[in-house]
Amino acid sequence: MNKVTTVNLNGRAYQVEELAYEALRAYLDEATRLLADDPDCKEIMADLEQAIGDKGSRCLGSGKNVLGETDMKRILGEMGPVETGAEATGAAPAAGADSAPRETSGPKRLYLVKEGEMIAGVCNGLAAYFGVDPTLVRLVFVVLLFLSGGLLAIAYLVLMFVVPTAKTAEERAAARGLPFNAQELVEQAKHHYADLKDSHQRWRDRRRHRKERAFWRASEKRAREEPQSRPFEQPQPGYGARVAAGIVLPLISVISAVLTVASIFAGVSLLTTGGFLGWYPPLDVPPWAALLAVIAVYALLAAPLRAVRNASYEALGPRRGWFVFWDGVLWLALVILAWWIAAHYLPGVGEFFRHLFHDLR
Amino acid sequence: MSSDVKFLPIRKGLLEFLLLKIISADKVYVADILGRLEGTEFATQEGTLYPLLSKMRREDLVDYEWQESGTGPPRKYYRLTAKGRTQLAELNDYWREINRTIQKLER
Repeated sequence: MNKVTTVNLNGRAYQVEELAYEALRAYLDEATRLLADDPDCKEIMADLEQAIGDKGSRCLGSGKNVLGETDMKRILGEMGPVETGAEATGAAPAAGADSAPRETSGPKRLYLVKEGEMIAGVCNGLAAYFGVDPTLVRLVFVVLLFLSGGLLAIAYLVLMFVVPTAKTAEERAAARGLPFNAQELVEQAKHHYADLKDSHQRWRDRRRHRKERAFWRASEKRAREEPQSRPFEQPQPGYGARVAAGIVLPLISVISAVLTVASIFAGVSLLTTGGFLGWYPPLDVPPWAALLAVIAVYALLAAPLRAVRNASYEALGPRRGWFVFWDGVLWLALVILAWWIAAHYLPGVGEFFRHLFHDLR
Repeated sequence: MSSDVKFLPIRKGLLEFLLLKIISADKVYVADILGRLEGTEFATQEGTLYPLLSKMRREDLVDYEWQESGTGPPRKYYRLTAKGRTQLAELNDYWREINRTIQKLER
């Protein structure tokens, strides 16, 4: 259900949904701004409003008397950006181009956020979307993963495939600032699939390329320098830094996995027995406050680990993709392993989850 | 159809010429013009057309009159003024001249 607003477009009333209204408002405001110096500003605005209204009327009919956001975006896309008669009397890009009006208000969208991600940035993206700490989302994710008996992992994979990665500054801003619709989801999935095929092709090319290079290296010693063979790649960090990163990363993963599991233990133990490892909070501290304290301590300890991890990723240079992936897998595997051990050998923990399962059913 | 950025100024410069041509043939309203240009390399949109037509009207190249349409609100029908016709004739000549030069250089 959406709220509907009535707008007056050049003397005729139209009913539009709130989001459609916002898009229309943004388009008309931008048009007014661009045409501010045009002596016929008023008349052109009236013409534009009339044209938008006419297009709107064609969308409406029996059984439909409100313009939705999609309708409005399409209409404004057909209208095209306003160009002032003064300098740019340009032909627009070919008809049908996705020239929706620039969204000045920056709608909020779900993106994978690759800055400080664990596996693919899904939790990180969700955290950005809801404006909460990624650690919290990960904890909730891991807990739900077990409660769902692993089904959530499939959801994770689907999201990883379907949700776009925030690449530009604008997208990263949008990650924090409308949910995406079904059509976009399908488009993204297609796009990612194409990317995947592409990268497979590149990988094969690279392999072939490497073989050829090995051959030439053997026959020609100077080839080792390869001054112009990779003109477009980012400079590779020093060898030492990369080795260090290679050693540090798994270590960090182990530490952070232990930390995660320990925090979850502490939380579970606090909720079930009222304390953990023989330590009990003062009686006047409610359990939820103790739980919050545990989360706070976790976040505090995890922050420097994350910083080191990110620095190590940086050091790995542009080809860090697989490393980051396996590092994430290692982390998840350690968490799952620790969980399994806990659930089987620590009676309190196993009990707690059996209760939780029971309550959920 | 080339969307090459390099050709953009050419398309931009020629759009006004084409509008004169289209309007010279008949009294037209904006949707007609868009329809005529659609699918050509000069495909354009309302956002571009209205400001341009308004500028041409200020330069006294085109004029418009309101006409009732059977189905909706009255529409603005554009036609060329005397000055617009002169300009179109000049542009036609100039265009032929340019083409001749280009062909000559190709030989």
